[in-house]
Amino acid sequence: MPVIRAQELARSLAAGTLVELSATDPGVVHDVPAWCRVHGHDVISCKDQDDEYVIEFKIGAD
Amino acid sequence: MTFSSSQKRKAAALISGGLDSMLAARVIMEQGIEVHGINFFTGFCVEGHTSAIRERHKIKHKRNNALWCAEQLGIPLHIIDISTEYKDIVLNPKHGYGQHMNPCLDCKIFMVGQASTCEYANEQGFDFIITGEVIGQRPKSQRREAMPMIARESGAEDKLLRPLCALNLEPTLPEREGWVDRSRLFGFHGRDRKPQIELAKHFGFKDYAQPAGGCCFLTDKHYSAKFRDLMRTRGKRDYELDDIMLLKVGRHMRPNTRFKLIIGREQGENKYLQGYQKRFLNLRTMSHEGPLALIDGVPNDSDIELAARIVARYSQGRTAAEVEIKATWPDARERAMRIVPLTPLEISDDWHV
Repeated sequence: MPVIRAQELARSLAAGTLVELSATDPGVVHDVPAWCRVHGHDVISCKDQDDEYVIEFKIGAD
Repeated sequence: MTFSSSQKRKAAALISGGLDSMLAARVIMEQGIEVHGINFFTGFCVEGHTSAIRERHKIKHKRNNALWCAEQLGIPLHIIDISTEYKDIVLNPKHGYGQHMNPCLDCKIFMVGQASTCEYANEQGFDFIITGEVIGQRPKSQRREAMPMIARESGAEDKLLRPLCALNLEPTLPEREGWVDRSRLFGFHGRDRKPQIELAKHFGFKDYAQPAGGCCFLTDKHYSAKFRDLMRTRGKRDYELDDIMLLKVGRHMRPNTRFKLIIGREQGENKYLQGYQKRFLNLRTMSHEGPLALIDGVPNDSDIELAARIVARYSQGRTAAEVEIKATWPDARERAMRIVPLTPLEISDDWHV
């Protein structure tokens, strides 16, 4: 589940780090931004590319 | 012992994404307790996920309800992947299944136990655990006798508080210690949802999920049938995460015991299935618009031809004299076929899983 991978990754990253996450699962375009809002990360972009969805977010201070 | 504001207590709330767990968390937050949400990923609990896959479900909420609840409550939500450990719960439930393949009682015991002992719980040092359980709400896992059983077998014991039905149960540790004011808890019971809806109104929750099966696909008759078929045809009670994810997507057809077809029903599902196409023999319609189909199993040559004819039936070429289908194997071998689509009468009802 992409949001769990994002969660585990975020735990080890410093605030301000940019993360790019790509997945074929369309759930990510709803789940990852929601997870970012809950945990104070900033979604930079969310793109539907050819075979996958790519979301870029910045790790928040919390 | 009375509650001291200098010693703020912390609770872990099991957040399923439904109304009850959301209310339970809010009731405890009202008492000044710091609440953190915990949600478990079992592989079976992704209703919102499926509607996100299917483009035609545009009207449905395309959201993860647990994350949405956490956002409404303003609490952190930690999602824990228990899909590997959960296999044993699904395949060998000590307390048996519910109406379908749902091991609800074992599931609840396992989740409460995990919420007590997982790494996140140890890091956070929770004082107690809360759930949205209501006595009599569900016939198996929320019957009165199950409540102490869950507390005991999970190891949570009297640190497990059910704020929505606490007045029907013995006081728990947080109540006895005065961390939580028992008089501000509730005595809901039974299947009537009115008290929860009233409480939601009181808290100003206008939008909330009320999934009939408690967010779990194992309570679904059709999903359970596909799950049983998977284990029966494999000849063993076992599964991988991808197996159970694929059971949520597409039209599943099993013309014989050697193979099953998973046919995308629309563009969203086709796109999702694309993520698996390098791991399965797959069929694509070349001469017409059509679905992507995966073949699970070990089909022989005539099975592949039959599969191609079935896929053609679900393509725009269903009434054409001939349809071109390309089969691609995981090792990149390809085979082009020109076949005649099956007619509706040639597709046996028994093939639908």
